[in-house]
Amino acid sequence: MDHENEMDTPASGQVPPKDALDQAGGAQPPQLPPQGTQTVSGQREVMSRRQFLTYALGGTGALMATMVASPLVVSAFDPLHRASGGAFSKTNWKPSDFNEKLPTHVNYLQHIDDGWNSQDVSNDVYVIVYQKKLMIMSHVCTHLGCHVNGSTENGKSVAPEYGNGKEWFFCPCHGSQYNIYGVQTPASPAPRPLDLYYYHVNADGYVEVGNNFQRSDATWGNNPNPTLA
Amino acid sequence: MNTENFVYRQVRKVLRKVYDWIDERISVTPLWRDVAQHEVPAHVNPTKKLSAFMYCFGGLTFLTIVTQFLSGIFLAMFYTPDIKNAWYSVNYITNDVLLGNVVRGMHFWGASLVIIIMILHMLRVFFTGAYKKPRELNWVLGVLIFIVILALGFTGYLLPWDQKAYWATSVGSQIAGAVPWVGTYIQTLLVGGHTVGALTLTRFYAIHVFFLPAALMVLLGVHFVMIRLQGIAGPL
Repeated sequence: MDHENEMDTPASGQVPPKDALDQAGGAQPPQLPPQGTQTVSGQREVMSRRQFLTYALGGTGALMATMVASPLVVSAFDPLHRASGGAFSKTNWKPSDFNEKLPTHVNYLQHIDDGWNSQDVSNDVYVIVYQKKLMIMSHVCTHLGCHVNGSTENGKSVAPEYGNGKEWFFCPCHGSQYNIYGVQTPASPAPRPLDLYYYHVNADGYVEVGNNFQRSDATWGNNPNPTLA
Repeated sequence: MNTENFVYRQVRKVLRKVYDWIDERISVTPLWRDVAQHEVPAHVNPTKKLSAFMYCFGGLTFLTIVTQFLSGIFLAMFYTPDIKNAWYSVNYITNDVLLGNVVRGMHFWGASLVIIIMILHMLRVFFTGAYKKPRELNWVLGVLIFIVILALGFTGYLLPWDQKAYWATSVGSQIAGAVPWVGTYIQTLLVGGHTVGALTLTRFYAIHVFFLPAALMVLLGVHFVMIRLQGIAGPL
C-alpha cells in the first residue's frame, strides 16, 4: 500500500545528484540511458506508466469538470455584461413649467427594468433652467445618499434659506449645502454637485427623463442635454 | 524543451512543498488515502472484463447528482419561488442570462439522467445479488435514496410554474388525496392549502432545495461509508 508515487523526493539516506533526480522514474538510483538512445543533451525523459495514467485520468477529469463548471460560472457573471436600463420615462412636464430663478420640485414615475421585473417607481427631482437647458437635479446627496431638502414652503420654491440666504439645498444628515444649481459649498462634506438627469422633449412637447450622470466641481455647468426651443 | 522541463520541475517542486507543509501539520495523506486509495477487485475492473462497466453505475449516479447540485445552486441565483414571478424568472434564465439555457438544460436533462442511471445501478445490484446478507441495510438505504430522488423530481417539476408544472402537481396531489381515510390530510399538507397555488410553490421550493438535498447528502454519506465498511460484493 505504501507504493509511493514520488519522483522528486529522495529516499532517506540516499542522495543522488540533484539534477538527475527529477528525471529518474521511481526509487531506483538514477542512471544514464545506454549510449545511442539518448538525446543530444545526454538525458532522456522517463515517465512511468503510473504517472502517465495519473496525468491522462487527471486531465480527462479536469476537462469534464471544466465543461460542467464553465457554463455555471459564466451564468453567474451575467450581470457584468448588462447595461443599466437606458429607457426614458414620460412625464407631464413642459419645459415652460420651469424657470431660471429657482429650482422647481417635481415628481414623475421612473420606469425601471430590473431582471424579469419592470415597474414604474415614483421619483422626485429639482429642475432649474440654466443656459437654455433644463438642469434636472437628483435629490440624492452626493455625500452618503440622503434625500436633500430644497428651500420650499407649502410646496412652492422660495428664495435660498440656507447658508445665510445663499444656498438653496440642505442635506439633513450631515449638513451639506448646495446652491440653486446643485453645487455644494466648500465646507460641505458632499464631494461633488448633485447628479443630473438626461432628458429629451417628445413630439407632444413633454419632457422625458432618462438616466442620471455625475458632475464635478469643474464641470457643474456642462450639460449634454438638448437646448430648449 | 529544456526550459519547459525546468518550469515543469519547478512548479512540481513548489506544489510538493505546499502539500508537504500542509501534510506535516494536519496529516491529510491518511485521510485521502483512506477515501481514494484501495484496490479495485478484478471482477469490478472493466479493463479485466468489459462487462464490469456496470459496476460504474453507482459512481455515475453520484456524479450526475453532483452536477445537479451545482447547476441547482446556480439556478437559485435567478429563480424566484413566487406565483407571479416564477415563470418570468425561468423565462429570464432561459432567454436572457448568459448560457442560462445551458445551466437550466443541465438541470432539466440531468434530472432524468439521475433517475435512469440510478435504476441501472439498482438493476445491477439486484441481478448480481449484491443486496444479500450482509448488505441488506445498504439496499434499504438505496431505496430511501431512490424515494428522495423521485421526490426531488416531483417537487422540481412544479417550479417553472407553467401549465405542465401546474397540472402535473394538481394530478400528483390528487393521487396523494386518494389514500384511504388520511388522503385529504396528506393532500392539504403536500399542497400547503386548499388549492395548488402560492403556498404550494414556496413549499415545493423549500422541499426541493433544502429538505431533500440535506436528506440526500446524509443518505449518500451513509451509503458510501457502508460500502467502505463492507467492501464491494464478490463475483457471481
